[in-house]
Amino acid sequence: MREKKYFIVIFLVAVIILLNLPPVAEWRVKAFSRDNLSPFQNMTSSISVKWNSFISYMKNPGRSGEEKKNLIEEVTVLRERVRSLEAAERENKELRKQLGFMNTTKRKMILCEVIARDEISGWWQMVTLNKGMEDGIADGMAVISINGVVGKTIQVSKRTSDVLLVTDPNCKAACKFSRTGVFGVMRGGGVSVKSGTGMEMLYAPAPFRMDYVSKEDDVWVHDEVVTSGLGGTFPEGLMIGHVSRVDMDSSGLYQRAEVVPAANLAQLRYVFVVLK
Amino acid sequence: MMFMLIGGAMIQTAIPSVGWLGDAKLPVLLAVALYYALTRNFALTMSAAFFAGFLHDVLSLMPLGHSVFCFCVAAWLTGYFKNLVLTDSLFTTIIFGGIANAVITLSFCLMLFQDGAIVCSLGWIALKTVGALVLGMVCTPVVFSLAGRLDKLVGNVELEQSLDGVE
Repeated sequence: MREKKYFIVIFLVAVIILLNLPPVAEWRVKAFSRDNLSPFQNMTSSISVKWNSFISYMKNPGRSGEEKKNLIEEVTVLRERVRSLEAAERENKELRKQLGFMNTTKRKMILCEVIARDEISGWWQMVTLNKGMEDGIADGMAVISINGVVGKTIQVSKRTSDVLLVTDPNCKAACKFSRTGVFGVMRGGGVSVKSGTGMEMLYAPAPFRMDYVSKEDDVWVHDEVVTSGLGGTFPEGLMIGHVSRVDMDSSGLYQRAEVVPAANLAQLRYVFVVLK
Repeated sequence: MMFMLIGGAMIQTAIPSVGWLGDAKLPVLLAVALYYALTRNFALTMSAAFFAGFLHDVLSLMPLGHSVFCFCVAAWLTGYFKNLVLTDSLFTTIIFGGIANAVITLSFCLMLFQDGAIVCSLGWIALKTVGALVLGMVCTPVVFSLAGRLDKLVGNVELEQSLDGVE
């Protein structure tokens, strides 16, 4: 009985200490533990990858995983180059008009592998990458895939980084419609109870919203939404998605647009972190 | 115990959540903590709950200590009631697993709301709680069965039974 009391006191003290750790100490404990758990996550991920590649090989024999990885990397770099060239062309026209000058910087990116899809508690929409501070990644960096914006980095430890997906309600980004240049703020929609959540919703989250769009502005369904670069996290011109629905805000002061993500968040395997 | 907890954490991370259950995750770590609560002594119960909560906090965006606190309370309460129920019964594991997971999900929700860490609607919380209840009821008996087999395989059960007779 006395022994039990000692145990209760010990666990109570340990819990109180954990709950009241200063943020820096809390983060150090978390980062240390995560770095030590990353081999297990890598192992789980590689088992799942091997299983998936075995299944895909059985379905479509011929192309090896390595070749596929190289092609994905190449396509991403080329798409990114085309996008930046298009943006440069538009900027060039504008600058010629204004006789101004602007420095154009090439984006430096780092290829990362997703080692944990989905977050353990289920409260956030998040993935974990196999690279961290050692590779130059820091908090708040943009993460993109070959199709578009994936999210932003949070909780970066030495060897791993967590990415808060764009579909999480906590993820906000300044963006604009590429057709009209109208600005807005994009926020993840999370999982909506109303929006027909069915079996196909495994991984697939509800579309996100672009809020605070002026009601005078012209927004069409299928309009392309890209980052505006104003928020500081996401560089300008990264593809976010396409408008699927436009309606008025409940206050009647703004329009809001539902946006379908361009990146296939359900099948993320390799992503790029845009280094600042 | 650590093997079960780390393996459980990896399985819980790898298995995707389901939208129509409010993105509730399969509560493997909680089930392991409950297994120890219903089958072992107080010290092992609390150790398992503490480490399960710690892993849950470390691998998620939860502030450190939230899951540890909830898991320890759940394990302690389960251990408290274990003399009043049939611990080997499937029905017990289903009920304990479901209720514990649903209550813990609601507790997380309250704590995270207070911290301003989540944005969600009441409908989603209700759906998530029901999802947690269902997944807890499904997952806990499976984990109990696997953990029991593993314990027998490595000889933990025989060792404990032989130690019980030693005064």
